[in-house]
Amino acid sequence: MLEKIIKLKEQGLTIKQIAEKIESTEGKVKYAWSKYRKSLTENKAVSTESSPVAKPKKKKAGVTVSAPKQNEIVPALTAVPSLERDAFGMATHYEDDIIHAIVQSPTAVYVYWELSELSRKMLETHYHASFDSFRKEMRIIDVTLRDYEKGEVNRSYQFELPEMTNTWFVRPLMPNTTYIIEWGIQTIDGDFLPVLRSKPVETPRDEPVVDGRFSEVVARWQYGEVEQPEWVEVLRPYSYFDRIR
Amino acid sequence: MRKGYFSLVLHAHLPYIRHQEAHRLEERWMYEAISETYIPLLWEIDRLERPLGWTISISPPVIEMLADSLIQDRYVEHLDDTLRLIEQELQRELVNEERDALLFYKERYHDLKVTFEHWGRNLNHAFRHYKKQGYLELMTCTATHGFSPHMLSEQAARSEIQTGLNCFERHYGYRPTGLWMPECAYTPGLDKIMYEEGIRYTFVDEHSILNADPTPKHGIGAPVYSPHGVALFPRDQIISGRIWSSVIGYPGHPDYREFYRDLAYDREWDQIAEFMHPEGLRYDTGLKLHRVTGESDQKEYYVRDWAWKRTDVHANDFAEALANHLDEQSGQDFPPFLVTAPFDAELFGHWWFEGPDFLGKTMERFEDYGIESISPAMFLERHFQDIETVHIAMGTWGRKGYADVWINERNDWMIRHLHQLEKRLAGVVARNRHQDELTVKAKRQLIREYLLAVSSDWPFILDGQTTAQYAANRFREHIKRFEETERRLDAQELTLDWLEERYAEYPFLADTDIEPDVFLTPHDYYVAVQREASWNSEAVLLVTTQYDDPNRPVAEYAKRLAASGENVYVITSGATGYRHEDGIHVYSVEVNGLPLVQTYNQLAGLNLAVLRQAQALNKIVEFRLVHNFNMETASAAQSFAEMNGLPLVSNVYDLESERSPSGTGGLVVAIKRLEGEALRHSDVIYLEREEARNGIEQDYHVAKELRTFQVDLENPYQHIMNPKKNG
Repeated sequence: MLEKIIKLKEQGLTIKQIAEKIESTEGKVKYAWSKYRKSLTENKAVSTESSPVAKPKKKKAGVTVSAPKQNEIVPALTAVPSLERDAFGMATHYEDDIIHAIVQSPTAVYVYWELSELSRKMLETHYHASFDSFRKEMRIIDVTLRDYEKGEVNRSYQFELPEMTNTWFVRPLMPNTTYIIEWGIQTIDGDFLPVLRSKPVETPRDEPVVDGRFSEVVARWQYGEVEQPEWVEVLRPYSYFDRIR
Repeated sequence: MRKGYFSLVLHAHLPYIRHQEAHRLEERWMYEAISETYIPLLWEIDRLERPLGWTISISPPVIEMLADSLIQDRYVEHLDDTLRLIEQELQRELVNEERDALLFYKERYHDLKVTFEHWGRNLNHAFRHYKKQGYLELMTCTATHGFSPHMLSEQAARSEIQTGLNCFERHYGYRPTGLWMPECAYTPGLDKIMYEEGIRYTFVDEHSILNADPTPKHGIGAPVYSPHGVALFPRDQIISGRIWSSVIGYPGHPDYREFYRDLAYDREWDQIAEFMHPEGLRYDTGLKLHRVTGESDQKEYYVRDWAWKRTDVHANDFAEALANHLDEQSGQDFPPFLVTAPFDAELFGHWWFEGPDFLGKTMERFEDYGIESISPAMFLERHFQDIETVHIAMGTWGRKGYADVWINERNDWMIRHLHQLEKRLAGVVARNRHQDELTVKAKRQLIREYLLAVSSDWPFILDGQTTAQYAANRFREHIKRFEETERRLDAQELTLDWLEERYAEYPFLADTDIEPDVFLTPHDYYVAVQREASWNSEAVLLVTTQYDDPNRPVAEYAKRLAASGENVYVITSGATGYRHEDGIHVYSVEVNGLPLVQTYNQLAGLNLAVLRQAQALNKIVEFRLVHNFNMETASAAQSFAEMNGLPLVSNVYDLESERSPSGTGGLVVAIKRLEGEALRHSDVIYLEREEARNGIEQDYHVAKELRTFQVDLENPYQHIMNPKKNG
């Protein structure tokens, strides 16, 4: 199978086209192809390792720490995954699981998402159905002054997304409101299964406040009564090794 | 002296449009800005020779281009060409008015050259000189004018701010305490980063202050503090509008120069070909010989004297209006009323040709009217204790006041690429902890490419659809250059020479401006450097929902594995957390948010949570197998093993046919299917209870050998066939 894939890939076919041609799934083709690509870079790394000057300690994660040596090159983690490219050479999607919402206006946010092959595979395994057959939905959740992790919400609604969509302008929304946005699938029995969840995003106010909600929290922060501000701040540190302790 | 203040802030910015090859159209943006705005402003500052209270923000791309010898030399060539064109034009038969207009330009271009040479061709020297004289305040903007509210991470915003300040300091010798935030864009939390980087004030639009919570008692008559302590000065739209508005503003007066009528379009091609683009493109010469005249397309010739005198009238009108405005607000105390008027610098001179003359004369009229022009820095020095702290929502000075310009159907394709770059930068710095020259230089080049890509000019231009192709190309170019650099770094194909060549193509920012680890978090540093390295290799991943259940042997088994020297990780369900006990890494995951109704979907949620944790660990921990203990976690365990080419080991305590002996519903069917799939995909199956053997063989048609499980199994993974076959 791999030989065929390499041949077809060299002819410029996309993963999808190859999968159709050899009557396999996109996931399997992509997996075989990326494994092949990875083996190429690994072989290369091995061949350079034999050089007497630099003998990098190659770890999977490429985190190598040693006394700084002149010109020592440290192999980094996984090679950049080979991604499908558009006519301009830009990746058409990334092997990532992310949904992110940004403010466009007091009544609109823009959302984009990426779902990795691994996540698709898991959903397909769990529901014994092809990814294409799932009904994709977006859920908009108003969590203003609520703790969503405890399941608290003010209100929420969801709607179906067209196939082949990876962005959405969500509108109309309420100004001065905190939203969490989830991308998920509608299961046969009517549940919404959230697969990706955005960080909270806050729509700005569009008029002077009458009965505001920030006087007290600003004062508490100002006088050092709280450790963290009690409002949404979108520019938080992004940690690559986030969930590793 | 009147009570109250006026504060003028000019922001000079262009995207970094320096190209090594000659004749790039975009480079002319820089020549136009120098000829029409930067030097004419310097002329006024020099003429007035006194503290003006002005604050000029010069963005890092402009600073770098002003200091760039290639651009300097090409600018002088451009001046020489224009002077030759003027001479050639003067040889023609001309009506008097046209000749006068040309003679005005002849003198002006001569003066431009004299001034440019006077400052050694580097106008940074001029601005620095007048700052030293105390005539004006200077500040800068973020490195490439990125739109902060749309960035994914704190690090991205910080890299823009910090790098911009470093660049300014290298050219100007000090760090300013004010910073122009691109597009006057503010979002809660941005102020924290600014404050940490030493910034004490910036600018927002009027509505950002008017809609603050609580409502500031002075409205836009005073700055406010953001919660993290940055003073935000509001743009006064009424006062600003007198100047910039094309409807009610001054620049539309019939005497002023017409922006849209250039000599290039009034001549036959043969007459000007020598001064146009070698590929036959017609572009503005900068010689605009007509005045606004009126609404009609019939334009009269520009009469410099009339325009010059008109600026006297308008300067006086503005000073008088401002005086009245301040008088109306004279009841305000602590602090006194302040009118803040921030503008794009290029408005003055480039769009409104006579703008710099107007500004200079306005300062003189202010003296007549007793109006004090003050810089925000000075205002804060005097009145810092009289400023309220409020919550300011996201806002900008763009169309409609928020982010409609920078995220819409024309440019929304860009944002995911930028966010990926941010994430990958965090990954690169976390993984590459060497401090050797090559690695450090590579990190800086990666950040440089990111910064050049994140410029708000690209989505702005795509929104306006003016030179959209250039903007889209530049954006894609820097993304791809980033990827190529990253790929070479990963593949160990980088050399210092290659990086130098890359830099030479876009020599923006010195390496010393860029902190190579600005994307590194303390946590990532801990994981990469301080965390025990042996925890990362040859690990066994146990997946279960019942780690602490005394009826199952998982914990005991894990303990024995660890004791035998295995590197053991456990993902189990429970309140989110981590513990490291008996040499075992135990990660608990949970599903939160809105509850799911159906059991099978709850399981899907749990499996997603398990999968996320496994994915995260997989960034640094090299697993050699997955060992699943519960049907409930089978989809995650099976998918993770399969996609990563890892052997899957399954433990069976009981089967669904035993748990629900009479069950026939959809849930039972689904669980049975899942159970069967997982078992068929397992490389090794262990039975905890003999009673399950029949079911596995008969219901699920599993032909593999079913092994008996004991917690004290010796070498439990010896039966795994290597290499693992895929697919």
